[in-house]
This record gives sequence, structure tokens and C-alpha cells, in this order.
Amino acid sequence: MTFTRGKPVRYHEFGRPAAILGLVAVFGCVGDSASRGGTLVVSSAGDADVLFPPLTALAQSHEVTDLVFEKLAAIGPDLNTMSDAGWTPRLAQSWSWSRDSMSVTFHLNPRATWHDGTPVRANDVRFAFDLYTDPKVHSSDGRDIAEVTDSVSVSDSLTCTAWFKRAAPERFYTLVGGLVPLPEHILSKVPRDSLLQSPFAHAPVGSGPYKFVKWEPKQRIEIAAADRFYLGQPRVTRVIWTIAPELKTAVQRVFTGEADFIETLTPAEASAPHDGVRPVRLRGNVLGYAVFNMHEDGTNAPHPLFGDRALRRALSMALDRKTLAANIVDTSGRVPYGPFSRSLWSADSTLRQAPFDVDAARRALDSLGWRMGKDSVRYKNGKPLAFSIVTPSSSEIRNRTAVVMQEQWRQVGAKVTAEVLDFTAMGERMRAKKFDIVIMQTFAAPSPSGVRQAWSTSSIGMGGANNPGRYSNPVVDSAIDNALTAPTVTAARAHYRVAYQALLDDAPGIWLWEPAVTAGASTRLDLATLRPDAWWTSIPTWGVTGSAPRGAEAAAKKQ
Amino acid sequence: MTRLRPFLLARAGHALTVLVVIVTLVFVLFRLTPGDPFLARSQEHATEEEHAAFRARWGYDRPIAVQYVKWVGNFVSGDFGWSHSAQRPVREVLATAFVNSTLLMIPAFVLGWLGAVALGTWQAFRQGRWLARASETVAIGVLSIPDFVMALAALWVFAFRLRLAPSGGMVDVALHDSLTLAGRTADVVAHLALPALTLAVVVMFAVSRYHRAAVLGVLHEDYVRTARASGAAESDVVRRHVLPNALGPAIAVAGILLPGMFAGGVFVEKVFAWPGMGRTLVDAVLGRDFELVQAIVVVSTVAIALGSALADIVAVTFNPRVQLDT
Amino acid sequence: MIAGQAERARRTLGGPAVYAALAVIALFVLVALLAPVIAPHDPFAQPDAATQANLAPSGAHLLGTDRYSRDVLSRLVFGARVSLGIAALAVGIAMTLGTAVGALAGYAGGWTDRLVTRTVDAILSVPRVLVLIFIVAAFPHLSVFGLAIMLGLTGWPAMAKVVRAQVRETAAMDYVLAARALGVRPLGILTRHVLPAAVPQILVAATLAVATVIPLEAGLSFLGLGVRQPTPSWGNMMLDGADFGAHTWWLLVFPGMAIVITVLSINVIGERLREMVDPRVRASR
Repeated sequence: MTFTRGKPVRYHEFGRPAAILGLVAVFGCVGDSASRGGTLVVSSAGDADVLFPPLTALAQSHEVTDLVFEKLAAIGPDLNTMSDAGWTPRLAQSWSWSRDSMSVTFHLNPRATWHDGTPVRANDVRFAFDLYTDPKVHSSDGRDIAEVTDSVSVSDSLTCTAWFKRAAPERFYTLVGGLVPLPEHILSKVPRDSLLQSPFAHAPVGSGPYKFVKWEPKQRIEIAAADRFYLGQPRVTRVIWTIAPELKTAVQRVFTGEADFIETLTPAEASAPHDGVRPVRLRGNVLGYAVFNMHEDGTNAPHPLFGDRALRRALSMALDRKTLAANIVDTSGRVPYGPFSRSLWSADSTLRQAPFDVDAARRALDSLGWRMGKDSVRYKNGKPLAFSIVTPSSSEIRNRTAVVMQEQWRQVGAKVTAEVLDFTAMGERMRAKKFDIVIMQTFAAPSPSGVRQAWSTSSIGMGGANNPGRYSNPVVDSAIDNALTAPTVTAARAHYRVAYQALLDDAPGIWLWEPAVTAGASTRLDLATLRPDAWWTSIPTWGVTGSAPRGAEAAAKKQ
Repeated sequence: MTRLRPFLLARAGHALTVLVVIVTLVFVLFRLTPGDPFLARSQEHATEEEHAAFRARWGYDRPIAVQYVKWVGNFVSGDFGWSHSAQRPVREVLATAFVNSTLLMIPAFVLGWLGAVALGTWQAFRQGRWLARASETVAIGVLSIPDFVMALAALWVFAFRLRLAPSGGMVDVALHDSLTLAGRTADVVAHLALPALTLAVVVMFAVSRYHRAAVLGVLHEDYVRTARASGAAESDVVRRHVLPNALGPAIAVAGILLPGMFAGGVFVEKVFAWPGMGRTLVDAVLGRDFELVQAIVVVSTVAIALGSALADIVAVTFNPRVQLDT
Repeated sequence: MIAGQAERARRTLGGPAVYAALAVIALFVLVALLAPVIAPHDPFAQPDAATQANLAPSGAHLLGTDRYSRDVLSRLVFGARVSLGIAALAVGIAMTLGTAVGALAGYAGGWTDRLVTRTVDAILSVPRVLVLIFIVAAFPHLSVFGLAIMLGLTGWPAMAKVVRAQVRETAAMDYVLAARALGVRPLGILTRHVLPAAVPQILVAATLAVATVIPLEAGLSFLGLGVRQPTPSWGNMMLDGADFGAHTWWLLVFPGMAIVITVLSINVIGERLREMVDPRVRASR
């Protein structure tokens, strides 16, 4: 396939754009002629929830807010969370630590402005801290920030200081990676308990490389390069997310040329050759795992089945996780080494895991008193070995996982129901803790502290993904606490190892798969840099080249 | 015209009763099922207190009767509430969805209905000939295909393989805004062509069966034979004697079918990603978005009542001999 | 003699299309009943989810395997059981309820009739698919059995309308009026005179109801709201296949064809029944 600059020659792209362009040529000319740089169209299978950093819950929203808003500094390519090494200045052009390292002073870039022209001031940082940590706002990022940061003070219009509560090694990462400075002059007028419905949450004003243009719910989100961005103009002038009702349609949009990028391709799509689209390997930092409910429904009584550690371990042994991972997340998907994503710096491949051994599982179940009945289901004291796996209908990958697990456990005599719930029913069940097993899927942020949310006693009652099974083990708790306060990476690693091994031995969950994510990118994209765990943050460096012009340039060329 | 008044009053009264019953039922049943709009967006991080605060703020912890009265009061004064699943006022969501559905359904229906009248008439006149019989078989065949299958097939063949039509959505996201009004119109037309044609085909075959039967019935009437015997041109006979008397059932069906298409077009809207009422309603139900669901139910019920009343009126205008059912 | 009977049979049954349709339905019902015997594999078994998923049709798997390496033919066969079983149960319920209510309204007349008619019209004015989505959202645990019941409970109004019309017509006939005058109990009149006269219309309506329920269940399953995994139904098999499109055409084509052929055959039979029953159409042939 060859093409000369600017002229589309590829056959596949011809039909539809030609039809549209034909209509455009006949009827319309360009209203506004956009500048150089072009338009990037990202195909997405889900809409954002709200474009307000303290309250966004969905990854899709982060893609937009990370480009519209700017943080004080950006994490380096090595994703170091244990200190500020490698972090690059963004809103703050420099920072300095106090002698005891318990406070850090930021010097803001004087050329930083909000998209409405107002300059960014230190007050905005302090205001943001107040807002994030205000209990009326209910921000989970705010909770994390408030745990390590005591307050933010302002010395002059461009200087502010953050005061930490304790010498937690990841305090810089938690504060700077979590706190997004917000425009005080706009948001101070909004009552704190109605931020979610405020116009700002749906039409944000930030200070990042792109400014918000419009959001048509369930259709698309559009942002455009900010005028004179103080850290250098992004190459691509416009970014549009086109939202499809489901993944299959979203992927097709890239293949038909309607979009340039899709975050996940299925294995079939990634391996099938498509003109104009190439697969791009991203670092997967998603972890899928099953959680056993330790208690019976919402009560404090131990779960009739899963309160027994031996049963949990037997069921773990009965699961062929390699086959499961291969089927669900393709041949490059991997089985986790433990309760963590292998992309974390605390990852340890030497831990002791329960092996896949169906015979051993069967023997274990026999010895626990579960006898095989005539209907191929095991019974003990007249009760069957029956339980259900709960998954949200929005996550296909988890639903499929449940189906495979169900069948594998059927082979050892368990009667498993896979319940696919719509999100409100799911939320209700999670809140009331009425489930047997739930499959979770978390994005591993660069910090390993996520294991605390998932498995420590202090997370019980925090809702959602925080220890839904209400597992409590003092050994794990103290190991995690030690890891979080350890002064060096080596020391922290050792403590994490203790926690991880305890979790593997106790089996309050089964860690199922880690997908290696393959994205699909149009060949007209020049992906200059690609941060593998958060590809969207690299968008300002991307360029749009090659043939098949899009958007304003298409019509401009027609004239 | 004097006959119309009692008819209209009776119909209005009837429709109002139906509306009140259905809306009340929906209101009560929905609140009794587990879950509320809070969980739709934030279950990953929310705590019990946040949930309780949400419920208190929006009044979902009050007794159902109290909530009902409050809602009715607001609704009648034009405040349709806040949609939690769309994070926008319900009026906005409803207006957008309604407009989008109309854009799709009206052309689809008009095309299909006109095609049905033409097809049905032709089939009735050519009754017994093999081509007409074949077309009747085709009709049954097409009607046996479930709409989602038809929509999938159309999308696959025309959009993905032949690349003749866009693969869904209402507009081309990259181009749309930089176009003039004419260009934007063309863009929307290009996107609605395939789903509208798919729907039109179904409508055409569905309505044509009624119309064919009606025409057949009329063809045997005396006045048709008289008209023919008196030497009138065939097209005149069709136009002045056959069609006006035969259109009754087709119009009656139209009155029922069209409003039903708005919310019932959910499969086609899903497959083509068209942001209409059907999709909005499904998402709202699954998201326990009370306010939005109620508003849509009210609008649908009113639309259907209006539609069937209108259909009856038109039928009477065409053929004064039709009895109006009070 | 035989020729005469054959001639009558041919005239009754109509053209070859109806023969074919009857044969198809009989075949599918047989397949559904004999599913455990016919199916080559266990429809739930995933022999090797890692390497045998999404295989094209071959000798070992005549219709291919699905994304979990389950045999498509076996699932299609068991799916027939589920889809046809649901349809049968749903229509059975709708028929029973609809006949009872329609007969009551048509026979009693007066304000009972008006009340019932108003209610039925009101229910009919709400699109059925939306009511079902509503119900499924309210009861996420709905079993296959429960789904069939819900489909039946949303389908009786249409049947009631048909029965009522027929019962009213019959109830106005002389011999019925005579029986009433003679003091025969209403139940007796209903069962011996009125209802039997309604049977043809009921049959037509029931047949067409089946042709409506099957796509409805398939559509709901396609939306993810009908029959849940791992139980196979033709609709949710298509949902499984909708992701890969042409790469795995066998996942879409076979269940899709099964649905279309079934519904088509039932429609053909229903059309023929309707022709046989409706004097006006008969006269114009």
C-alpha cells in the first residue's frame, strides 16, 4: 500500500468518507478553518461520568480530565512513587523540601493560566486541597490525600507549601499525583454538596494543554488545544472521543477509518491484518481477581462455605488459571504472581502459590466431608456445594470469566451460578454485602498501596472496591502498615512480600488474570511517546500525518 | 364535526385514566424494587453515609406517597427533575432523545407506510398472480426476521462490508461541527439512511398486509363494480373509490404503530447506536433513574393515546361511514 | 376414495409451503424433545477453553465451537429446548388467562365488558418489550421458568381481545340466546356452545403469539436480559457471537437461521389457519 502525501489511495477508506465528503463538497464548505495539527479521534466504548477530578470514578473520565487539567508535577517514565525522583515540573516549575522532609514548597509557573484567561495562583492549590478533603465532597482521592497531608499554606501568589502528617514514603506521589489544582474564582461560588450537578462538572475549566469544548452525552466529548499553552503547544489541535454503545462497534470505527485509536483490541482483531491500523502494545496494569465473601450475606456470621480456609484453598486448586487467562485475555495474558500486578515495583515472582491440581482439589474436598452426589454435585450434611459469582453486566471480560470458572468448578462437583447484574443491582448487592463471590477488576495505579484498599481491615466499610469480602488478618495488616512507612524501597519490598505471601496462603481471593493490553492505532498517527500505563497522557506529543485527512483539513483541501 | 366532540372528550377522559394508572403503577413499582439512582454512578467508592446523604437530599427516603405527591406537583408545573444517569435535567435528556427518535422514526414510517399502501394495493389488484403471491411470501419471510437480526444484518452488509453507510451513531464526530447547516443536515441524513430504511422495510411489509386485506374487501363492493362498469379509468377508480374506503385499517394501524415505534425501536437503536428514546429508556431503567423513566412513560403514553385518537379522526375524515367508537 | 381424501387434505393444507412449515416445526420440536440424546456433546462442557475456543465448523464440531470452546451444535439443540419451551409455556399461560378474561368480558357484557376492554386496551398501549425490560430489571434472578411466566403474563391481553370479539359474536346468536332463556347455566353455555366456536380464532391467535414470543425472548436475550449464561437460548447464542462478526460467522448464522426458520414456519402455518378461519379472505381466493 503506497500513498502520496495528502492523497488517499487505500481502497477500504474510500467508500464512506467519499460519500460524506461528496455531500460536504456539494452542500457545505468549512465554517471555521482549523489550524495545522489535525484532529485525533479516539474510539471509546463508554461515556465519562463527570469531568471533575475530585469525583470522577471512571477511567474514561480520567482520559479527558488528565488533558484538560494540569497537576503540579508529572510522574517520570519509571513510575517512581517512593520519592520525587524522576518527576517533571508541570504547574509547579520547581519545588523544594524542608530540612525534615515533612513539607514541600511549590513555586508555580507564572505563565500558567486557566482556560478563561485568569492566571493560576497559589490560592487555587490551597482551594483545591480544601475542596478535595472536604467531607461534604466525598472524594476518595481526597481521602487518600487527607491521610498524608495536613494542610496547604500560601506564602505569595505563586508559592504554596504542603505540610505532611507523617513520613509516609509515598506522600509526594499521593499529594501531587492525586491533587488537581482547581480554579477558585469559579468553584468557590458552587455549594460543596452540589458539585456533581454543577455546570463545571460537565464543562470544566482547567489549565492543561487542552481546553474543553463540548460533551454530547453518550455521543462524544471534544477538547481543543488551549491557546498558548505555557508548556508548549500540543501537536494535535483537536481530540474527540467518539462513544459507541459497545466495544465491538467502537473497534469497528477504527477499522472503517472513523476513528484513529482504540484502547483495547481483542486477540482476533489484533492478529488479523487491517489496512491502516496497527496494533500497539501497552503495559497492562489491570488485575482481575475473585473475592470470597468471608461472612454470610450482610451479617457477621462466618460464611457457611467460605469461612473455611481449606475450602477456599481447595477451590483455588481446582481452577485452571492458565487456561482461564488464555481464553479470557488471549495468549499473551498472564496469570498473576500474587495479589498484585506484575508492573508494580513490589512485584515478586518467587511467592508460593497453590498449584492447579484437580485431583488434589477433589481429595481435599472429600476430606472436608463434601461427598459427590448422584447429580454430580457435592453434598455435606444435606447441603450442596452451591454458590454464585456476581459480575456487573458492563464488564464483558468479568462475565466471561465467571462462565469459565463456573464450568471448571462444575468438574469438581460444585454447583455454581453466574449472576450478571446491571450496575444498580450490583451496587446494591455490594453495599449490602450479599454475595458469595464477586469478580473485581482494578487498575493498578503505579503505587502498590492498592493492596491496602483491597485486603486490609482498615478498608472495611469504605465501600466499593475496598475489601468487599470483609477479610481481616492482623498479619497482613501489620505487614502492609510496615511497608507503607518503610523508608527504603528494599525494606518496603520485604514487608510487601510478607503481606503477599500471607494473602496467598489464606486465599481470601483468587488472582485470575493480567491482560497485556493491545491497542489499535491508525497508521496516520505518529505516536512520539507512549506512557505505557496511561497512554492518554502522551496525546499532546502525538502527531497526525499521512493520508486520509480528517475534519477541517479535509474540507479545506476540497476547496 | 359535531360528532367529534363527544368522541374526543370520551377519548381524552379515557386516556387520562390510563395515564394516571400507568404512571402511578410505574412510580410505585419502581420505588419498591431494590436500588436507587445513587448506585448507578459511584458504587466503586461510595460509603454508607454518602448513600444515606444522597437519599436524604433527593427525598428517596420519604414515604412513597409523599414522594408521589411531590413528583406530580413538580411535573405538572414543568419541573421534570434531575436525571442521575445522564447528569442533566430530565427535560433536556427527554427533548434530545425525542428529537433524535423523531428524526429517525418519522422518515422511516412515512416511507414504509407509503410503500405499504402501494404494495398492498398492487398485491390486491394482482391477487392470484404468481408475482403477487411471491411477494406475499416475501412479506411473511421478512416479518419473521426479528428486528435485531435484521438490523445486525443490514449493519454488517452495508456498513462494514460494503462501506456504503456509516457504522452507526448520528453524526460524524470529526466533521460535523466544521460543516455549515446544509453540510450538517447531509451528515445526519447519511447516518440515518440505513436504520431508517431498515425500519421502513419492516413497516412496509407489516402494514401492507392490513392494507391488502382491506383493498380486497373493497374491490368486491358494489360501488367499485359500478364505477368500473360506467367506464371510468382504472386509476380514477382506484383513487376515488377504492383507496379512500380501504385506507381505514392502514391508518388505524399507523396510529398505533407510530407512537409505539418511539420507545419500541430499542433494538434498532441499540444496533445502530442511534441516541433515541428506546435506548435512553433502557439505560434509565437499568440505571434506576426514577425521574427519567417516569417522564418517558408519561410522554409515551400520551403519544400513543394521541396517535390512536388522531388515526381515528383521520379515518373518519377519509370515510365518513366509519363508526367512531366511544 | 383415497384420492378424495388426499384432495381434501391438499385443499385443507394449502400449498407446499405449509407442508414444509409443518415438517420444519415437527422436526424442531422433535429435536428439542430429544436434545439429550441427539446432542453430540454436553452443551455446558468447555473441553479446552484455551485452545479450542472459536473453532470453525469441522468434523469434530459440526457447527464449530463458541468462545468458551463449547460445541455449537449441542447448544443449538438444547437451545431449541429452551427457546421453544419458553414459547410453549408463555403462550399456554397467555391462552388460558386470555381466554378466561375474554370469555368473561364477551359473555357478561355491560360494564364488566367495558371495564375489561378499557383495561386491555390500556395494557396493549404500552410496548411489551419495555414492560419486560422493566420486569427483568426488577427481578435480576429470574429463571428460565420465571421468564416464560412473565412473557405469558404480558401476552394475555392480545388473546383476550380476540376471544372477547368471538364470544360476543357467538353470544348474540339465536341458539345461545335460546339456551339462556331456557335457563341453562352460564358455565354450561360457555363450555358447550360459546367457547368451542371460538377455538379456531384462539388457535390462530395462539400460533401467531408463538411467532411473537420467540423473537421477543431472543431479543431480550440479545440485550443480555433474557436467558442467562450458561443456559443456551438462540438469542443469547447470538449475543455471544455478536462480538467477532465475520471472524466467527457460525456463532451468528446458525442461531439466527434457527430463529428465522422457526418463526417463518409458524407464520406460514398461522397464515394458513387464518385463511381457513376468516370467511372474507376465503371468499376472495
